[in-house]
Amino acid sequence: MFDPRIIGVGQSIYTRHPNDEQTVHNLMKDAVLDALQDANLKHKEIDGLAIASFSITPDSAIDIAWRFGLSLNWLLQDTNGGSSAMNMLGHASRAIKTGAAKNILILAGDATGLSGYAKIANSYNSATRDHLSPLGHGGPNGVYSLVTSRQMKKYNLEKSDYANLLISQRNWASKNPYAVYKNELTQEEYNSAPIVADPLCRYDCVPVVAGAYAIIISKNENERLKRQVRIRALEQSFNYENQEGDGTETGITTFRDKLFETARLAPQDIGVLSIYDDYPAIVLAQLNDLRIIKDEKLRDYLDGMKEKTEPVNTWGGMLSAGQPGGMAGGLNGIGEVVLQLQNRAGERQLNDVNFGIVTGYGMTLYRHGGTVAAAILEAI
Amino acid sequence: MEKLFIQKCSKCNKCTFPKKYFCSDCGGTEFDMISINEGKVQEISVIRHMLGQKDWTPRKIANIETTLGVYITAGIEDTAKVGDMLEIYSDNGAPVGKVIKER
Repeated sequence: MFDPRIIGVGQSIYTRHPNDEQTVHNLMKDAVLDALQDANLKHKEIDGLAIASFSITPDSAIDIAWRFGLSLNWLLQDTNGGSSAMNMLGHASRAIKTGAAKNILILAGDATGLSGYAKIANSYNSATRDHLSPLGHGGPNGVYSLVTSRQMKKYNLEKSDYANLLISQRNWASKNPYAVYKNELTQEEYNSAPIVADPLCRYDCVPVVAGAYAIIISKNENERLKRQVRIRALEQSFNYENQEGDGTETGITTFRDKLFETARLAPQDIGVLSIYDDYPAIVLAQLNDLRIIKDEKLRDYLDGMKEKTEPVNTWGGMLSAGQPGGMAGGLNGIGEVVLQLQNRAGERQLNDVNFGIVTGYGMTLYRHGGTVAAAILEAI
Repeated sequence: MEKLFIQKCSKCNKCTFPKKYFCSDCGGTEFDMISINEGKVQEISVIRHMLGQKDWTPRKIANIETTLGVYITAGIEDTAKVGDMLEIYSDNGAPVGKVIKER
């Protein structure tokens, strides 16, 4: 069966302080225009739309189709937070394989502002609203502060060990013109940063931005590109342990072997990685579950980042480039791997990359996230 | 303050919090309500900054291992430390703990 191609990526500006014109709809418009141009498609050629956003309310997917002048055969609205991008990618790929659509626009964006994000965080689900928010738990920062403490205890990590991951991603962000934080980050700055929720400091907490991202997946190739990108394997897990684990492992453990077997690859074959990075501990948990980190030696991996540049979150990740809602942040990770595989990543370009991995993680249910997904993308 | 109740599956005795509609082990839909009386502090975080708020008074939350084996997130007193045993209450549905025995 034909494998759909990811034929275009596009994004809006990312900004910590949006002006009156930088609404979620306007930012999405910018991302769509960028992606259409990149895909060499006309607006009328889009016949499918997948969308995810916390802040298009009261609009929904059909409103966006209408306002954006899109008449469609296929429509999806996803609400799975940090896993939405991967979820939409999977659904869109299957829709193209079955002939339900030919060119699907996958779109995500948010412009909540800090106070809007705080409202979302405090009523994220009924468990949060009823059992956590009344404690003043600090939203996801509070939840993942406890997960991080458990990870530190389990793997004998010091708080300062996490700095190398943040410094590495900041170095990558310095080469991403869209990143909101590009300045060099030092170990000293990390160690002395204000604590937000012990042990998490300012640099461990993903900065909320306004922005949007779009990708286009198609039945056809983009003839302007020398290298096409297809999905070689994609796996997902939802509510894999009913919140009964400690959050230091993810649902990746349920599908890791199948993911690599389907792709007929091993972790060492992967040349670029976009690992969903709302918090450093979650990046490490996913890398560990994927066996990118060998023998569960998290500290050795972090120490190694001082000497060797790891191809992880080469756009700077959400921790440096910004989180335009978890949904668009997830799409940005997919787009970055596509650009790397097509040798279009500019100053960030890696050498000889043929396979990349992308993950999504999200939907903090009570003690940690309940959704996770991973895909292996291939350049052909 | 009121007692904090958790569910115990009437069929397989699995305990769970927050409320479920099906037991994740046996699929049972009948639950007995059991009060959680005590728990041990496993990890603590001080929430020093609250999104969208400028005048925020730091407060402590903790991961608590209850005597029924269910883990809950609770608000705790400033003096509570890892390893302390707490008496657990409900404050309008949100778990809170008061130190009854120091580590």
